[in-house]
Amino acid sequence: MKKIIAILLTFVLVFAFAACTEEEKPAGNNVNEVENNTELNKPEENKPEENKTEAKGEGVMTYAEYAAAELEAPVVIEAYVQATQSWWDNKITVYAQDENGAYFIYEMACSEEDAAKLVKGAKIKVTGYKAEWAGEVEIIDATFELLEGNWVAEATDVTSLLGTEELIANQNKFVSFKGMTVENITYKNDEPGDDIYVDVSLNGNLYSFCIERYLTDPETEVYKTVQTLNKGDKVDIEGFLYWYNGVNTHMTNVTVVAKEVKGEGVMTYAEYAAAELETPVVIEAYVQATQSWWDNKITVYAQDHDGAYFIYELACSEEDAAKLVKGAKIKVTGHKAEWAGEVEIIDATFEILEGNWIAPVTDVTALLGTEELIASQNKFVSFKGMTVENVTYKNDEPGDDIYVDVSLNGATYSFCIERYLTDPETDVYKTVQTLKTGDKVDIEGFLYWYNGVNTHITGVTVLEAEAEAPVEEAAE
Amino acid sequence: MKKIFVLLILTIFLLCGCHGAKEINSFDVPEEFDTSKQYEISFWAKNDTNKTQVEIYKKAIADFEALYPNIKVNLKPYTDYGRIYSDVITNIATGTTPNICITYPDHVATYMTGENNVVQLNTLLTDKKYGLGGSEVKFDSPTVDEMIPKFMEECAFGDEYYALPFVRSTEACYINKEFVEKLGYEIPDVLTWDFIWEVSEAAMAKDADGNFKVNSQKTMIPFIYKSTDNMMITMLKQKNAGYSNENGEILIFNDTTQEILDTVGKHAGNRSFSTFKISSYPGNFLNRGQCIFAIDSTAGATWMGTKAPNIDVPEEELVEFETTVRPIPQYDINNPKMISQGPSLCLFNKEDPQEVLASWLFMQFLLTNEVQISYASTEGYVPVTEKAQKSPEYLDYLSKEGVDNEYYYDIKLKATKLLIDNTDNTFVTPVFNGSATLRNEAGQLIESVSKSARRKEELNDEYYKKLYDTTKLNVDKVKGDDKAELGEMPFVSSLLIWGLVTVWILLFGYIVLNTLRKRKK
Repeated sequence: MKKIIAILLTFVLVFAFAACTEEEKPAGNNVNEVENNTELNKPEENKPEENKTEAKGEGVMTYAEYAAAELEAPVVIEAYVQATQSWWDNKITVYAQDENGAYFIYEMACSEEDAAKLVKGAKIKVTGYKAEWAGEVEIIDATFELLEGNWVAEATDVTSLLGTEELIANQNKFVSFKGMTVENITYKNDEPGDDIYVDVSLNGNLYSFCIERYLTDPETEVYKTVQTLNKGDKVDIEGFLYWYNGVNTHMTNVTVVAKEVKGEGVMTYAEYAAAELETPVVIEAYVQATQSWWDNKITVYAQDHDGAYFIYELACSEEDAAKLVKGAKIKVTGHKAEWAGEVEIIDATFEILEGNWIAPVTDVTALLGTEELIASQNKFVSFKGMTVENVTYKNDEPGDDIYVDVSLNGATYSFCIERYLTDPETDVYKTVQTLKTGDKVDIEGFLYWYNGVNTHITGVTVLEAEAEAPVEEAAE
Repeated sequence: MKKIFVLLILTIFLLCGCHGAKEINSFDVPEEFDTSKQYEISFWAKNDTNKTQVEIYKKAIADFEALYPNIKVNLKPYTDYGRIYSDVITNIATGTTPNICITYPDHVATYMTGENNVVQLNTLLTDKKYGLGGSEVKFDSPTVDEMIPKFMEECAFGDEYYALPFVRSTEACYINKEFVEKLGYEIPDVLTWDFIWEVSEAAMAKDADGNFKVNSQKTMIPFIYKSTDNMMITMLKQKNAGYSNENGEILIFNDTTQEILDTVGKHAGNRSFSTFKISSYPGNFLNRGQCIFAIDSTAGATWMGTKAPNIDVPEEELVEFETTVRPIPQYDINNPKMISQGPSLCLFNKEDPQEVLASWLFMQFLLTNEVQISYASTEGYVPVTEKAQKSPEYLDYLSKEGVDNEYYYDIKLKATKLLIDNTDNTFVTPVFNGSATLRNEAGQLIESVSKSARRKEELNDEYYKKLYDTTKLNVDKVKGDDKAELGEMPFVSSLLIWGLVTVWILLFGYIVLNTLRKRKK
């Protein structure tokens, strides 16, 4: 008997120690969460089904039928799991795809045990309802069954579709974007560990992507990579083409193509801003526009990711002037100067560098009338909802500069059409010629300064045209 | 025999040392706070995806730590009450709860299912040295009498307080005034449900091109309710119908509930009504001119209106209109009722009473005027102390409605005043273990009926029976079975317990057998 008890006690001790060593999870972690698929960042070799045109099961919709189905309609689809968000409370959100399209299956009913089976490539039959939430078409109230089959989607490059109406046809697909420029990185709640909002640009257009922490948690490579990104870095991105009031890709992989680093001896924008007037300066920036070349000189509006530069009468051959296209990267050596409030670089030379970036427009309407506005001097900016007060030609001559007075909240500002930047053949020049007092307009342009803000207008959108009271053509 | 007993005692000690979540004694207020020892406490806080709120928490922590250099407060921000709840439940099981968390009283009821997990606050509140306004507290905290009684009631379980209100909000109806008038109606001071349904149906008229006449767009959802939990609870309260009671009885399955659901289903089927879960944020539709009545928390006021400081809609999609703010619609305009909601503070018990006291001091600091006013004014919240509400600083804030579209944003201030003026018309629902689930299920009834109506399903007796059965099942699962909340016991732990029981039985049997043998000898 003593032996039996001794053996039992030994067993109990063994079990006790086993019980004490498991499940040491940090406070705050949800022990119910299934680990994210850490393979997300290592896309497997694409393994299409042997028979790509395999027929869907009985009563199962093709992707085309699903896409055509009305919202709220019951839907039955078969697709392959590409990723899942973390399991929680007997629900799991799935990114799934077949050869023709993709599906976002929101909070699908799923036990923790079954969630472990929803690995990348697994084939599932999903029964639910089609719905839409803030532009995202999804399947809700869904149940599923696992089927035989396995397929991992290759990323579809949709870079060229950005900004087009065709992009949405790829909604929820595993996609890639090449050569995007990082514009801004912020954490939800300003807290590392939460979702990360990633603003990227291409050709001057800004897009909001994100790291969804329930898809790619802080331990994943992509989360860590995004944390190291800086403004101006060029990146290739992979992810799921999620939608939230517009494209809002859930990123799963980021490859840094080029880090934005200033060259040897080149000032950062902060150093340039801090430099004394009349001192030599060396900067690197991207051409956003030029005034017309003349007499081996060209005036350039340039910008980097932190600020902007007005480079006045830069020494330049006619041949080189042709290379100063929008987005071109240049290194400029000159002197910092100020003229009627406009801070500029004068007596400058330049060389062309590898690189290309077009600045997205910055809305500075809220800064009008404040001391903060000047910090955006020379940037490509926009003003919303301005009211046209007066439009007059310089020298009273159509074809010359146009002075455009606009107002907001009772204050009037003098903007202008600079004819060497936007000549009479440009759309903006022609549009401004048609403006009338009282018209409501949105304006884009470079935040030039002449004894105060004096935006060089490059774009005008008429929001509300004032029918009566035509503007005086020119001051008499 | 002696060897066996020695082995047995050793085993018991060893096993005791292995227990994960230790039972803690109830908290007694220490005589003095030990300032010679360092304390590190955790605060799990909720914000409305509002960075200013996070900054206010951080500033409060910095100010508090300057007063009490031996206390370090670690902030963990959340944007979802549900996630805090889930994490707390998980950490109760492992004995790693935070020291303080932001919570709903419903959730506290579940936290209390374990013994002494949550500190009962009655003694602390009135402690002469460290209670509210206590003599040894190093800051100007409110006294118990300066707490607004209506808000304190919400944190009482019988006569015992297990939470304190932090700030309070209610719901408001944000209205596109132009559209209502374009449809030929005037907005009354007190909205009725009939009015809302009638105007909403009128807004569904389309022109020959398929555009809604009222907004000339393809999209129009006249009435969107953000929280359907609140919608169902409030409608039942206004109709004086059953929902639940203090004893935890579920009374929601009644004729009035079905009447409400039938009405909701009718309008959801016509697409004149929808919900956040089905369609997305009411404020976004309102700001695009695609919604007329958006019901959301007063704590969401900074997102409402085309001049709102927080906008989640592309600039080009915004539509200019005048926003009117009203209390939520009523069945009886002479007896208005609206929900009281908002974050509360819960204090967790720890082995070291000094650590609990340190946490309590910080919790109390969150009730000081500076924290109360700064946090409340981030949204349409109101402070929970009269001391803050009647302070010159707060009165000045309220007087500057519309001075700018940021701090003094008129819609936010109107929403705030709406609650101040209607504090006596607010209510809360009974709190018990399972009340959080019942609240979810109440909302789910509206969500399910709305979705089914949109899907053209027939809402007949059979439908309701099935719906109610599912609801009952979900509620009963939580009410009758704590395992559902705390999770199944791990297999190894079960094995351990059964092993211990077996050993005790064998030991007892052995002793009895030995005694009998001795007697025989």
